[in-house]
Amino acid sequence: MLIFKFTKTGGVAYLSHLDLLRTFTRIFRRAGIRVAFSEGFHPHMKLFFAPPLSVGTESVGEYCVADTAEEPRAFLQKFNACSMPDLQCLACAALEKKINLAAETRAAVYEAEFSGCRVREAAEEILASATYEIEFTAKGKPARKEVRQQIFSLRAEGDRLEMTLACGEPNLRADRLCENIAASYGGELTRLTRTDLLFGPPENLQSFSVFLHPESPR
Amino acid sequence: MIPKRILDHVSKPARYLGGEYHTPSMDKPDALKVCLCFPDLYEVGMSNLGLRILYHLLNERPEFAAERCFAPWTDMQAALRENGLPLCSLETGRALKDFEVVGFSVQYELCYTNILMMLELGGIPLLAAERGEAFPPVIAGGPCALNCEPVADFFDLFMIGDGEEALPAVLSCYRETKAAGGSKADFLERAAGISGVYVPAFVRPKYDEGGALTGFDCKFPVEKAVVRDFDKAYFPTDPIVPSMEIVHNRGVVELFRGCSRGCRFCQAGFTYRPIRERSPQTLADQCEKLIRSTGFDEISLNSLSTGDYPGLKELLPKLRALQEKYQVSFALPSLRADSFEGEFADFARKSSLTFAPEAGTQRLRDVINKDITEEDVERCLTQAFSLGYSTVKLYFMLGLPTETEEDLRGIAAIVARARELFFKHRATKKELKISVSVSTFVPKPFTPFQWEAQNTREEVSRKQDLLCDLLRQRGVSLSWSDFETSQLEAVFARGDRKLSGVIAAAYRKGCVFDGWSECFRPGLWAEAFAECGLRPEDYTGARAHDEVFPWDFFDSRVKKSYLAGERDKAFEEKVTRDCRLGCHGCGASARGECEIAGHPRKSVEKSLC
Repeated sequence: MLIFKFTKTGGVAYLSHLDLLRTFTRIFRRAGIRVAFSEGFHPHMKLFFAPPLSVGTESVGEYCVADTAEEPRAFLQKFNACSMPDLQCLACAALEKKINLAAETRAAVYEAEFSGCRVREAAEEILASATYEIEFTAKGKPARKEVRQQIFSLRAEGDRLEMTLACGEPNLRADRLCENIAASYGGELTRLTRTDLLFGPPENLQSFSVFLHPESPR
Repeated sequence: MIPKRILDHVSKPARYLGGEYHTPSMDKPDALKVCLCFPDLYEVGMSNLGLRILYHLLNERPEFAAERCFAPWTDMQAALRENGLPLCSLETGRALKDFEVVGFSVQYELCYTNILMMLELGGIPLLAAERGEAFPPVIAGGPCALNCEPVADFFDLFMIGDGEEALPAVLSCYRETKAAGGSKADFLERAAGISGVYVPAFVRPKYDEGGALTGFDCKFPVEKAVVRDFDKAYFPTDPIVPSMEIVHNRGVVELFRGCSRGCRFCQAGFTYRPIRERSPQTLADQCEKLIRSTGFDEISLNSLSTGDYPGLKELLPKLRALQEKYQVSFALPSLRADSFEGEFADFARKSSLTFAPEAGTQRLRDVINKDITEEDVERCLTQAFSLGYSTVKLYFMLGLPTETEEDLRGIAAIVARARELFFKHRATKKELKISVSVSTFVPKPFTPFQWEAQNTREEVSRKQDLLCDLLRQRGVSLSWSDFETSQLEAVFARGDRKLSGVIAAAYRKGCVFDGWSECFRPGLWAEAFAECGLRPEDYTGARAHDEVFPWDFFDSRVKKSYLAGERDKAFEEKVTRDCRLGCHGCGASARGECEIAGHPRKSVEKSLC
């Protein structure tokens, strides 16, 4: 069993989770990395992901657990040789036992870039308030949702906003939050990147990168 | 790169991004910049084998840099217009007008308005005559180039037949002409001499006072390009691997080009002749390279009738070895009737079975030369049902020449027989599902039925009603093509140059993606015809035996006299045997290029597709 951290940037950010799964399967096949298959009528590679990214959101901090006997260093090299520049493995480590990424993820860290938006004002006002409602479109219909409790931190710097938001169950979509911020505080969102995924209790959130050995090649 | 604010709000943004695995480097400063355009969505165009072959063939050569551009869906068209952005290539984001040559792959008649949409969004004037030296030559190839007269005004040059040798020759000609300081006109003049090239400006159709075509002023002979050594012809074994789901998301090898069956309605069956085959060893090597380089888990063995490939017995064990080694599957699109007894069984395991009897009675199947008998269908269904199959797809055509009500009742009889066989032989608890698909016959150029009429609206609707009544049975679903779509296809298939005006007018009114039912606007097309003083009915009726056709100036290898003879045999209800059993002298083998002509076989397998 291996855990690896990977990027999903540029055009690859616009692939759906299903497209990403298929792309992984093909990368492994090209690379000659053997991943165990599930039993059953439609066998598929045993790959386990954290909660999927929204289409269009980039990431430099995705994680995946793969059921393979491959040696971590070889895995990283083979994977990257057979993948696209926008989908690269950053680090890889062996696991003693499987981590259920989807169930254990509690929060995600994002970096949003705006142009012409009063980002500092947005961060201060939202954090000072006990409630924050966002509007969005879901399945073609307008919807509203109270999300203040799902915003763990906001930090403005120039045109950028670093955000730690609930991820998993409950979940706050960073793209929806950013679009609401742009609608209220002017300007537009030009880039949105997930930088890390966190697990553990709210008072002690930790990055999944603790499972990647410090000596893992970068 | 298209801005995030646009990408975030269009459907399937991955269509517009490129960057897939195996995208070749465009970093070739001295290369001729070519954009290969496909006038339909990314997921349709990326499934097209012709485009795949030509794209990689050009990019493997240092002197060419070929990029791709697909038709943007309506939401993206609107976004580009609103934001004043041009339609660009996927690889480097260059607008179409900034390429040195722009080429279109034209696969079906109902994409004509999309060509205009792509030219306009790409910043290129629609009419070739209005483009001058400032814009790249716009060229086209693909099945519709066979009768490209309806779109002749929009293109500088057409390429007819196999593109593997002709396209590099045309592009080299452009490079050399430009390097020598020549003009676009000089290029067209020189290129017109290349086999497979047709320059509409050099062929002037002549009409009599009544508007009937009487002949052509032809500056150059026009003939189809044919790749002679098909086994050694270029084939891409490291094609782009699309990241998003596309229509045919798998690797493809091509077993052979051409077809020996001679179904009289089928254009591909005549126009891809002469027949040329790849050797089993070449194909097995190509399959293995494809699997290793792409990671596809399925490889499709393509041709017009895969069961006819004589090397199948030699190829199958090789594929079985690859199947074991890489855990991949192989798809054989046209199934043989005896495949259930034979070696295909576990190769071709599918959830449903497809048959294409095309006509409901033996008499009509003889007319169209479709070599399937009721016994073939029954034997195969019996085997399939006893193996546990419960879903069957049946394909028929409506409006074939000489068709009567009895032939339509024959369709219902085949369906009834299939139900009977299912309940007699079923090996599953699943319910029977029979999907019957009935398309409307479209007479196509270069076929024995090129003189025939398409059924009128009244005839088609009466026949469709009858079939609806006959097939209202449990477990049977019927689908049919809508009349306006088939009619438009028929108009363009046998159309002439006068139709360019209708296409431009329809586009101006807002017609695009006419092949997509959610976009098709028959009312706007009717207005466009009326404005040009033309009627669709002028093109869909029967043609006189001695009529000059808009495509007559062009040599497709199969002789017009042979097609006329096949037509006579059709009305006598006489079949023409598979040409693997003996050459009928259609003309395709006149230069010794047909690989089966000199090697008659004693028997051929039955094909049900």
